[in-house]
Amino acid sequence: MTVTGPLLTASGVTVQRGTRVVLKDIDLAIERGEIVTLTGQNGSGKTTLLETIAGLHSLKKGRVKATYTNGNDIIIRDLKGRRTPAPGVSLALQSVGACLDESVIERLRTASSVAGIKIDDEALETEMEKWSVLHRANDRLAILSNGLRKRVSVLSALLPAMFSNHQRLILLDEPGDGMDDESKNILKSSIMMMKDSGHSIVIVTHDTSMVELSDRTVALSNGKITTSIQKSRKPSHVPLLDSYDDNSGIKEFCRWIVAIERRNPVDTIQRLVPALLALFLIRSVGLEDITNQNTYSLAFYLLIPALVSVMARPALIDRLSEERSGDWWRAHLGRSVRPYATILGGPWLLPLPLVYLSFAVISFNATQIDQSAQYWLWLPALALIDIGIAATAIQMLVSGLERSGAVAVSLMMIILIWPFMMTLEATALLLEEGFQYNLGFDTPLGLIILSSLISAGVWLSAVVIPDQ
Amino acid sequence: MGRSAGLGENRYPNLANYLVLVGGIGVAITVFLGTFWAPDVNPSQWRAPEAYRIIFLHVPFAWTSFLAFTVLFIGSLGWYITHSDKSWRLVQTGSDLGLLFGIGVITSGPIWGMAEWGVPWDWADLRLNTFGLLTAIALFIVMARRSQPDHDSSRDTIASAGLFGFMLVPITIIATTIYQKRHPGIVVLETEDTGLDPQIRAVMLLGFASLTLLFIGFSIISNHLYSLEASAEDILKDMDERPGGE
Repeated sequence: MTVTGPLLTASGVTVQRGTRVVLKDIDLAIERGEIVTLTGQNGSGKTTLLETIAGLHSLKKGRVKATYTNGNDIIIRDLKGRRTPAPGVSLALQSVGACLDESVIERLRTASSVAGIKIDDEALETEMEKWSVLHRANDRLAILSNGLRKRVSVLSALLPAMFSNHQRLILLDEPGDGMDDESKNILKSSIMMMKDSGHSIVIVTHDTSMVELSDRTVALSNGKITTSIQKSRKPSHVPLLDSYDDNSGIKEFCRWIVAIERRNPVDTIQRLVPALLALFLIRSVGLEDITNQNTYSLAFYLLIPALVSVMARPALIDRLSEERSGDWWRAHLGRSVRPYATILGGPWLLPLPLVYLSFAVISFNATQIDQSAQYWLWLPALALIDIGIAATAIQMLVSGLERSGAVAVSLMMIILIWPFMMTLEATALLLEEGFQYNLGFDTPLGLIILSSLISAGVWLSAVVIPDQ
Repeated sequence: MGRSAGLGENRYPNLANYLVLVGGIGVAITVFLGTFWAPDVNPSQWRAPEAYRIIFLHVPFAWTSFLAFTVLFIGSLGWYITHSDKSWRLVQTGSDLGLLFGIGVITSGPIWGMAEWGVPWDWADLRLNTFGLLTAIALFIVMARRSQPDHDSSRDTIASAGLFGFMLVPITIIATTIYQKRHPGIVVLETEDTGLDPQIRAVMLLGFASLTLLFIGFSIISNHLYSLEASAEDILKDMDERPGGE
């Protein structure tokens, strides 16, 4: 079946920021194999339009849709919010769009894997050599100059199309910004190569030499399209994507979260240090004072270090906000980013060892504890992991604000007092009577299950509603 | 944009001024009657019988916070669905008044709780905890509104916080119901088998009516102010786009 018509269409798109309308009734269709440049003064709405095509902005009016092989329209974004990630789209934001702890080769491989494209080492090295980044292949982006970072960012958007047999759309925001003349020439030749291969490209630029490459120039002023100049164009016959499978992208996102934490374990350390500090402070109170109290107080002291660790701000939030890395992921994976990030960015490692460490430090000479309790302390540790995942979801919700540091996230965390209190009561019962195999609101198992269900409810509330 | 008020109009509608005046006088009379006219309760049933008088403000505060939180919820849902300025003004008004009246509830409650129960906060008390939670969310929303650039995306997240607060209410109900076994046992409205004393009921109804009038008056004023603020912002944006400015 031959599908005709545009690859991607924005119809009547209006984007508002507060009381200011940034884009007004924009109609723009990106044809297959077409290169479109968006031009205009600063603040005219070029970047907002590009990012709206990528599904990053909520719409006041209109919709953005894409086309598959079978001719069906896929809504990327409409008034109801974010729907499906744009199929076959690769994006290079104006900023790097990556966490700076990533290495150059890792960034390029990640971008290709998210697009579902596998590139062999030799081919990748050839392209890196061409773009003069091979000598920095294993260096972190953090130590590169801005010009080199830009090269990596643009190359990561171009790579999937270079090795794809299907139609792709490449969105580039000021790709030549910060590049020297030689790099700009490489960029232009790559764009021409993409054009010859039949891929579509949308470029936001002030650079007239870049405008000359395009098939169509769309000028914007005050959020409206003022002129659209069309040149002659060779139609593309590259086939469209048969379907879009975002599983590979999600797997890549999960791998990315773990890999970055392994390379620079900020999350683990910033959770561990206050927890150990709390444990040392509790220990310094004097063991006799603690162990002579009832099991409820003992359980409280036992759980506090782990609680401190799960409530800490996850490092993933900063990683996703660095250089708009989170927006890059959202553009490619859509609304799946938030739920996966809140689960994988949660405190998986520490609660279990911390609960047992606290038990060893605080309770070793307590006489009122049931002997079998120590075999079941993993249960409250699991409940604390659930509380930590719910806390991560709340932190992620607040991090969606532009100035997230200017609001008190703790106000939203108050709800977590209940799952903690239930975990606390379950731990006290474990210490006093040991584990019981029956279920009920006054048994450790029942309380732990309820605590986890409440945490899951909080997680759902924080994750499901906000991602429009 | 359909703004409802221009900058040259009166500061507040007259009706709102009257409502606030009458409501304010009513609250003052409620406090006076509650302190000096309402009868004492049976000391054998109460640990701190004099402290009960705080209910003349506490319960009407709870009622008006409930109204404010409902406005916040409707506004948040409305913004989430329609993205209309009208819905956003409900979020603004609901969060401001929810914070104001919510603070009334969660400060007067613990004062009475400390005197009567011996503890300032009871994790088993559904009303106290629900209002505590929603007041915290209202404070978060007020802080977020004041600190964030006014973009649609900021409004989305803030309205989500409003909805988040309401989705937590069932969780609060479940949690507090399970903790009900730890409740101190004395509930203020169930002290008499035959119901409330007529004088107590009269003062309380006066408190309800007065605070409701205050709530309506404040809502009109708040809505009017936020309309004016939006109009002023439009004018400022137009001025920003004039050439030659710095």
